[in-house]
Amino acid sequence: MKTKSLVSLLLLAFVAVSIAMAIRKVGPSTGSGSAEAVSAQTTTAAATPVGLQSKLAESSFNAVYFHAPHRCPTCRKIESFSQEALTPEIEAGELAWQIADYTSDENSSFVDQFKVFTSTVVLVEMKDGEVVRWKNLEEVWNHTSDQADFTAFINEAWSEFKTS
Amino acid sequence: MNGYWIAAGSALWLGILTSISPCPLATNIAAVSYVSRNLGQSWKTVVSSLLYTFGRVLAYTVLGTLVVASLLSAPGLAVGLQKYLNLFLGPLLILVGMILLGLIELPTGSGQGIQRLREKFEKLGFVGSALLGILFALSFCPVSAALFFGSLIPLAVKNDSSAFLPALYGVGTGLPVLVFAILLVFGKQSFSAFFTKVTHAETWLRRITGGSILAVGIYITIQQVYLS
Repeated sequence: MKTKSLVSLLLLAFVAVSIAMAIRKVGPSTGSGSAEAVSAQTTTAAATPVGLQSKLAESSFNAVYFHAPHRCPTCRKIESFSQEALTPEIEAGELAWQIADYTSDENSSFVDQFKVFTSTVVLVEMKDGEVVRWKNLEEVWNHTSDQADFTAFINEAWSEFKTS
Repeated sequence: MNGYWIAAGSALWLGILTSISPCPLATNIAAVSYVSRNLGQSWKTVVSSLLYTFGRVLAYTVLGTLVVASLLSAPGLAVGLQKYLNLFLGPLLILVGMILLGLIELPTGSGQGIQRLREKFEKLGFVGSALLGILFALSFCPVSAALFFGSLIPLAVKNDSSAFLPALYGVGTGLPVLVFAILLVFGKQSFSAFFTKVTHAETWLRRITGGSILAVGIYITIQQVYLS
């Protein structure tokens, strides 16, 4: 009986702490909390860069990989396949590779603008610090079963975007 | 007309694809556990799994109608549901598991109010299946968001079908739970001796159900709240 009560108490405590942490996660960030959130963000495994706007402004062309806090296996595949496919352009300085969490308040304006609703890759052209053009490659989900097919799709999308 | 049936088949297939992708696996396990908690009475298991599927159908039909009619922004809705609902799903399942395991006692008493509360909770068994269907349907992960908002919604818009195609998608997402529940009902015949001879079968089933839902709740909580 005592064991049952102890297990119940521990589980209820776990639920309470988890709900508190969940509320803290979704709550509006203010003042020092915001700074905390930023520092927490920079130390997550996702390594989401802070200030996507300024990152985008550094290059005329960007490929942004958007992800959720929980990275599913297919999402990781999309990230690695995309980055690998675009490596020659990234290394040549033609294109900058960016990573952003689409559930982060900080990126909400871009998420709205680029119509992001799941893990995806968005090609963005910038001029004078502003977005000139963008293309959401949400079809990446249809090419994850074959890396060669995925690479061909990404390369074709990039070529079209660059020349249009 | 032929094109419409192809679209209908595609919607159903997209639902099945969603249900067999890795990310809804935990919620499927919880759902199978929940609907089969009364395996001793086969009809209850079948009705529960049908109500669970109906809950999913209802959720996707409402979402589809709102998005296709442009009453809600698909990206905003998708991101909002992924951001908020998944965080609280785990703790909620832990509480449900605890109730099923008897770790949270419902108030006992002879008062009419208490009696009515207990009766209402008992009746929640079937309603709970539908509610679980709605809740799990709305708990989008990147894969289900891509399939629903990226494939199903454009298909529904193209075919001017705000309700029928999302409803078929919902049927597809509920199929694994429905199939598993029916297999359990048929499989039960092979160990019917267990059900006829063991008087505590229902107690054990409730424990297995509660334990499964509790484990799934803890897993989702750790994954969504602590590891994300």
